[in-house]
Amino acid sequence: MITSGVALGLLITGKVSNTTIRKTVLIIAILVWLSWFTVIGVYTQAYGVDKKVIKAYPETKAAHSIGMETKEHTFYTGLILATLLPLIAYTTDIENNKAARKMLIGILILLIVGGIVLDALGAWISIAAKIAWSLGGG
Amino acid sequence: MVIKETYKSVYQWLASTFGHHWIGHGILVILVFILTTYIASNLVKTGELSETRATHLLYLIVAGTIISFVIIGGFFLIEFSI
Repeated sequence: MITSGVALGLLITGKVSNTTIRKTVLIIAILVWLSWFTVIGVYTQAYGVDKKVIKAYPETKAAHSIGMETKEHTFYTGLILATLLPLIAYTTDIENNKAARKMLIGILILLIVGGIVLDALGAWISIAAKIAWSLGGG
Repeated sequence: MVIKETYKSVYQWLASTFGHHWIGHGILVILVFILTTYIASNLVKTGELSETRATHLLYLIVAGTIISFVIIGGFFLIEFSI
C-alpha cells in the first residue's frame, strides 16, 4: 500500500519519468504476487487451527464465514489489478499520455481502498480468533 | 466463486486437483485473466491509448471491481444469514 501511495503521488504531481513509474508499478505487482505465495501456507495450513475455533462460537463465527471468505476471494481482484499496472505502464508512454496516467491513477486508488478493506477484514478475523480462544478455544 | 461455493462437486474437484480449493480458484482466475487479456489485445490494435478509450476502460475496471466485491461479500452474507 505504501508503494501504491508513492506511485499515486508521482502520477498526480505529473513529474514522473517512464522508467520511474514502470519500476514502481512493477515492484507493486511483484509485492502483491509475493503476498499470495507467502500467504498460501498460512491460509491453507496454519489458519485451520484458528478457523476451527472461530467457527465453534456463534459470537465469532461470522468473522470466518463472512470476513475471511470475502477476504480470501476478494484478494484475487487485487492480484489482477496489480498485474494490470505494469502491463499498462510498459505498453504506454506515461510521461506524455494523460489517458494512461489516468488509468494507472484509477487502478492505484482501487488497490489502496481494497488494501484498507482487506486489512479491516483481517483485523476482524484476528480479534475474533483472540475472542474465540479466550472463550475456551472450541 | 459463486459456482464453486454452490456446487460442492466443483469445490471438491478444485481441492483435490490443486491441493486446496483457494489455490485452484486462484490458478483458474489467472488463466482466465491471461486468456481474456490475450484475446482483447489481439482484437484491439489501434496504437496509443486514447483519452476516451482509457476512460471507458477505467469505468469498466472500477465497475468490475465494485460488482465483484458486492457479489462476493453479498453471497457470504446471505449464506451466513440463512
